[in-house]
Amino acid sequence: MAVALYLDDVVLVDRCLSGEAAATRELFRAHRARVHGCLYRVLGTNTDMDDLMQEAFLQVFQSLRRWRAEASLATWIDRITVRVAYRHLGQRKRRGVTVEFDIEQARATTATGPAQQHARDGVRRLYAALDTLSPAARLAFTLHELEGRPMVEVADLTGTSVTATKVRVWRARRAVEQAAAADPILAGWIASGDAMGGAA
Amino acid sequence: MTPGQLRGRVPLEPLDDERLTRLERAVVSGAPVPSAPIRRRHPGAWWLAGAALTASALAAIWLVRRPAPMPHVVATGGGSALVLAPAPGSDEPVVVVAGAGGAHVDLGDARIDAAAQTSLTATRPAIGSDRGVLVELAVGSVEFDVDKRGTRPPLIVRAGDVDVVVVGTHFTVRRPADGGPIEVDVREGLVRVVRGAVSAAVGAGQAWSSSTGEVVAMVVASRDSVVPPVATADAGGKRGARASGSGARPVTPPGAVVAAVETGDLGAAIRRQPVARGIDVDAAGPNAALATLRQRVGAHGEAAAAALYGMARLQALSLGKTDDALRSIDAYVRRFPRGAEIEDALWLRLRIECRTQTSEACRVAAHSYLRAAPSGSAKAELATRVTRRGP
Repeated sequence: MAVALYLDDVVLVDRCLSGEAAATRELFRAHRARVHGCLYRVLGTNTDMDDLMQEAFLQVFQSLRRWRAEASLATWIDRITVRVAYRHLGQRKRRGVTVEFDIEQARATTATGPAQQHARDGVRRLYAALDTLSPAARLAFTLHELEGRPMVEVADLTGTSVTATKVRVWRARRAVEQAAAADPILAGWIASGDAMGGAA
Repeated sequence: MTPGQLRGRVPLEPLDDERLTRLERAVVSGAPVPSAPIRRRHPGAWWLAGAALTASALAAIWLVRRPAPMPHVVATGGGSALVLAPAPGSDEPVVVVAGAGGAHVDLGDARIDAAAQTSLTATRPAIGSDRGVLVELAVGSVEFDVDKRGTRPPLIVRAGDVDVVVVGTHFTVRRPADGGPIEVDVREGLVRVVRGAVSAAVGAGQAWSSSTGEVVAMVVASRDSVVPPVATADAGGKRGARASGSGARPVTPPGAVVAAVETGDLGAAIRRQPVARGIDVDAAGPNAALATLRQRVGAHGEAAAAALYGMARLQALSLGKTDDALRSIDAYVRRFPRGAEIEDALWLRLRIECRTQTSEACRVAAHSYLRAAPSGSAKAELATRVTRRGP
């Protein structure tokens, strides 16, 4: 019965599995924005984005045969994306990388006013605070608080219980609040409600 | 910091077209991204991946160029069946001419039951970049039970100008001797019917006929049989089909037995049931509220789901735009199959579709609702009554 709900996905996947390059391209184009959006909000930067998106999509295509239409293709791809992001965060943590400044991103947003500068500083400090968290807590926080996904969905994507997810989000929120207490710029940005320029 | 305070506060920094193009090329070809600006974290791993890809390509070339023999054939004919099966490993076609008793042919992983007076030929031509199995039905009716193709060679059944591209698994193709319409019934799995530039996905419980070119729910003899949602044929090269809803109006085939829903006061009873409230929007009127909700649909998560359901409710109940409402509900079902409002959205669809009491879409909507709704409720009881219809 679930197959009927995701009939478009079933046909597209079948075309991909039959080796149709156009279908592979179609799948990539249909889901690249959500994969990028998810990775970006977890990591806060486009550095490494090409590698990570490529890794996510290669995993998608390698395991496409295992998709059983129990969830939509989008949800299934989200799970893979979250796994890729989690692994990347773990590797970054082990390498001791904390804050990564995206020069390209900075260049793209230099022609802005003081409000945008303030918002940009706020976002950067938020991610600096998130760098102190465990990868699991960071994932739960970004998916729930920044992406706006419900707790149940975050728990499903990260393969944990809802209770564990709530605890992680709560811990992460507390860490951000502590960072904000010691950082007036971050505190000001959180209180101001400004988004950094364009649409979220 | 309050929960949800940071939602939408981190804007997305888009990737430029050049990076996206490079990525797409790399993903589609399965090769690493060939560019300087992208940092390589594991050059050794890429070297290994490159070697593996080269080996795979060489293996694929060998497989394509290798003569593809006909799959192993086991044939049993009843009565006067004539089955010309080639020797194992041969590339000769399989010819089946079934007499009064029909014939059964195992063609590799495909089980074929040919009805009486059926004639077919199976060959292994090049299909795309692969060598597939082409079953050409000259006349008669053939029932196929085929494993899901996946990486198996493509299997196509050709009946006149109609190609049935097999995804899997259990279906029947009929080509009457009198030149009547070619018909495809799918019991399990999925096939793609291609006729000229038009293609349609036909799923389990659905049927396609060349007389209408439409996909409809398969006519079932049993009163208790369950027919899943109907998909539509899609013209113009766009493949796939949608679950029931707006833009997917099922078409009753000529002469098909699609009984009216035994409604009586059922329609009125359905309308008496409350439709769950949508999200509250501070706006001057329904059109303004609709515009506000439309803006929120682009977000993620619960907010977008609530906005989408709110849109559907407004469109259906305040603005009378039921087609728009069905489109919104379809979008909801696709985006939020486990959303908080899924049951309410499916009930709204049922309420809209069951305006026309004989509508097949009404019955489909009822089946969809019952999958999401808790049993025992008044609404579930009404939906169950909708699904119970005569043969």
